[in-house]
Amino acid sequence: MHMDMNPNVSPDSIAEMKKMYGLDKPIPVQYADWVGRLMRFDFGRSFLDQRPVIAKIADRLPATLLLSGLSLFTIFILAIPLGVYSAMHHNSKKDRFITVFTFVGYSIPAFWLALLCMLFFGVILGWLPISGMRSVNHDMLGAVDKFWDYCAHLILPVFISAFGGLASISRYTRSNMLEVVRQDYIRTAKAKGLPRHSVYYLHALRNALLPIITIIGLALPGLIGGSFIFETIFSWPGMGRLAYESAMNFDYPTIMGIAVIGAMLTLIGNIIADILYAAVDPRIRL
Amino acid sequence: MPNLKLSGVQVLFRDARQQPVPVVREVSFETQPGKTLGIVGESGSGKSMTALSILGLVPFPGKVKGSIKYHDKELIGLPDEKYEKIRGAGISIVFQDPATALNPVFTIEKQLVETILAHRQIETREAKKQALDSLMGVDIPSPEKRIKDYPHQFSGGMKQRILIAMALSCDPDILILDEPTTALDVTVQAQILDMVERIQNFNKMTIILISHDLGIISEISDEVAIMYAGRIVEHGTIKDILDNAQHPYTRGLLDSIPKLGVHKAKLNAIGGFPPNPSELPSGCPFHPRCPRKIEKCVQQDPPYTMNKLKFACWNPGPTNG
Amino acid sequence: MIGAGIVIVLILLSLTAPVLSPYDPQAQDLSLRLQPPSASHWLGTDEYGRDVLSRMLYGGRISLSVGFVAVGISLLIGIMLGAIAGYFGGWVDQLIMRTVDVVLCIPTLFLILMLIVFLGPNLFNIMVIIGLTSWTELSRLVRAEFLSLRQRDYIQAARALGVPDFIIIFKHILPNALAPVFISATFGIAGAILLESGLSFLGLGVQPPTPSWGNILTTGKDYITQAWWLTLSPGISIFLTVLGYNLLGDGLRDVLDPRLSGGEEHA
Ligand SMILES: Nc1ncnc2c1ncn2[C@@H]1O[C@H](COP(=O)(O)OP(=O)(O)OP(=O)(O)O)[C@@H](O)[C@H]1O
Ligand SMILES: [Mg+2]
Repeated sequence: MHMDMNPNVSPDSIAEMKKMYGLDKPIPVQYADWVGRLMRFDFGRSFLDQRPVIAKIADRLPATLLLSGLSLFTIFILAIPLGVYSAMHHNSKKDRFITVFTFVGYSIPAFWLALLCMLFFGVILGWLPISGMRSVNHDMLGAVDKFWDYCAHLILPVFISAFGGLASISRYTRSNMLEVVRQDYIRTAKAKGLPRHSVYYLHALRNALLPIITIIGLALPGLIGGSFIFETIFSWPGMGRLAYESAMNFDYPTIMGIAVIGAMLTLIGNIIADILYAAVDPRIRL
Repeated sequence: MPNLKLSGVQVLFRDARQQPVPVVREVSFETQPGKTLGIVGESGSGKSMTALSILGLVPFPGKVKGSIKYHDKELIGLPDEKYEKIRGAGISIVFQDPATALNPVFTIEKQLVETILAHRQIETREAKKQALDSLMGVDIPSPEKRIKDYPHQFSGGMKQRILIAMALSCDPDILILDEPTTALDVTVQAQILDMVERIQNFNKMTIILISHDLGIISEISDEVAIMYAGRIVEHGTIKDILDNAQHPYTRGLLDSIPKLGVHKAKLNAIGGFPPNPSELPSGCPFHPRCPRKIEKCVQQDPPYTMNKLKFACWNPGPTNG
Repeated sequence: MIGAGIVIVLILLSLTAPVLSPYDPQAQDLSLRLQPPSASHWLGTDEYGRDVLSRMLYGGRISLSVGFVAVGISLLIGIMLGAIAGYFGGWVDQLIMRTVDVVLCIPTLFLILMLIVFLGPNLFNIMVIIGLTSWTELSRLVRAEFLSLRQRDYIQAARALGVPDFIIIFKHILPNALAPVFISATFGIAGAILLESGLSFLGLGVQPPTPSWGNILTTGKDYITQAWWLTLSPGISIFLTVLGYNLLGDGLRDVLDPRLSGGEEHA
């Protein structure tokens, strides 16, 4: 480990720390202890400030959940209509335009886009704050202004962290729609004389949404993991930024705790996705 | 008075080299209220495409030409909003495979009710009542319970009944059945055809029954049209076709109907396979398989005779021997 | 194909970087700090007066090697595990696929962060770490192909004849399963390049003074109001590179695997 290589740490304090972190016991015992503690969310104390890791994470988690939740929501309400629209105008100019947009979306480095947006909206136009969660004068604001202050701080981080997902989910929605639209039951719906919009937005979309729910569940680790890039850029006081700070300071217990909590969030997300899936697909009973 | 009149209908696709490929060629027929027209042909002969062209549902790159008149109203080129009024309410269709024809994520009730509401200005409650009635009409046991079920909870035969109920729910005057029983087992086939005939006796609708099985067709049709390679090759009353078929292809089909006591009659009594629509043979497209082929058949596609029994053949005859 | 064009140009540029570079990418000249683009420095200079164009060209080599090495590693692991799981099935399959599920559950970037902290951030480690954390999708893909190919008659026949599993896997199944793997690998290169530049941007990847597009962009961020060229050139380069591989992957998919591209629709 890196502290062995750090000449500023005295041998005494190394021994002391080893004891404190249980490193003096045999390896298998250490391992069992460690797994047991992880299960109980006992990640130990931070190397950095000696606070319990779980408390540090708990401080930061709400900000991350807010950001990821809003990003997910943004992806949902923008990407799905975009994908459906693109599928309905399959191979037209509009569809090609959206396809180009999605390729740009996949390929543009989000952290670079973040920089450009910060420069443009934050520095040049001065419309939006570019870092943190609230303004310096936040505490002096009235309730309504406080709310708007939060909103203003959220816009860029949410937009940037939703951007990549936007492209891939809309692309995915499009290909799903194109697949579903070829199914026999869509032909039946047309043959019944249903109007075009209910054929697409009701019959086709409902079926196309099923796999999208799963995909969003799968996209969750990316979103949560990605939070460390976006939160760092926007100085967002969340778990991702904590992960970055801990990494820069070799604070292993904290990083470990964050990884476990991240995995847990992913699991919860997947369970929610499964429940949602069962709710919209009558063929599945829980 | 015919209620539907097709004249010279063509359905064209394009192949990889952008050459037009006719999958339906020069199809003309009329239908009368209360009568059943059977359309028979091998797989790929263009039966389903003909049906889809009537409903304006030919899949995307396909083009329909000619004229399709429904009560003197031209359907080809009709804008979607107007076509929607006719689909399901004037002309209904039941497709080939009941297993996939119902939307898996909606209840039967929803799918019936939305059809009714698309065509009738009534309240949802009234539409639900009508939906239930339509299920009773197709012999679904305890419909008031089953109506809340999803498609996957029904057997194939039941799904087909539901699809028929749906097609009939707005009292169309023309019902197209595209191989309604091919995917079902024999006893269910018979029940469903009986039921359809019973309904027809009652409401005097026109039925266009599509099948590759001349046996099934002959049971309930008044008229039969035989299709080969996208074209109607023989067309007449059921009696004329059964007793007096002139086209060698029709003869071949007749010979392949399983007769009482004769098991395992070979379905394809005619050797060979139907041609690919993008590579039709010269002259009469049937000539490579025809037992009565003469020289002229290779050179020219035969026109229709204009008798009571219409057929397209250079060397017609009552036997293939 | 635009994608193939971009990719070829980029590969050529980075192969010939030492020849093309007008300056030594490390050579500092503090009298020329933060010069805007000019005839002598086409893309300007950075905060130490180094030539940005030369640094960009060398940075391209880094991106390219990260893309290829990382994907190479993930191909190796992904194909091995996917092939074993798909070919043998049973408990082997269960074991491998459950492992994949567990790995998939941990947010990849946290995993990468953890590994970087343990192993230390440098070019070699970054390549290995990205490779080690990106094989899961490939292994699923290969497994699925193997599961379906294994059922084919000629494979069954080969097994019945006692052809060794090893030979069947490598000679008979793998070549037929390669198309989707190839497509996925192309997208994988795009992903790896994006990831490396992101990590380097945050100071967790390739460390200065070695030039990488990501760490040039870090400088760009620090001087964003004074030196726009430091933000623009690396950003556009990363974007075009990733776009190139994505387009190439998409093009390959159309060519190699037509069933995956969109179909037609009822009129
Ligand atoms: N979307 C399409 N594009 C091009 N050709 C098509 C398309 N759909 C069908 N065809 C072709 O049109 C021809 C007629 O098809 P159709 O479905 O009408 O046959 P069918 O008589 O109903 O056969 P079956 O008994 O198998 O249902 C076939 O040769 C088929 O290959
Ligand atoms: Mg058909």
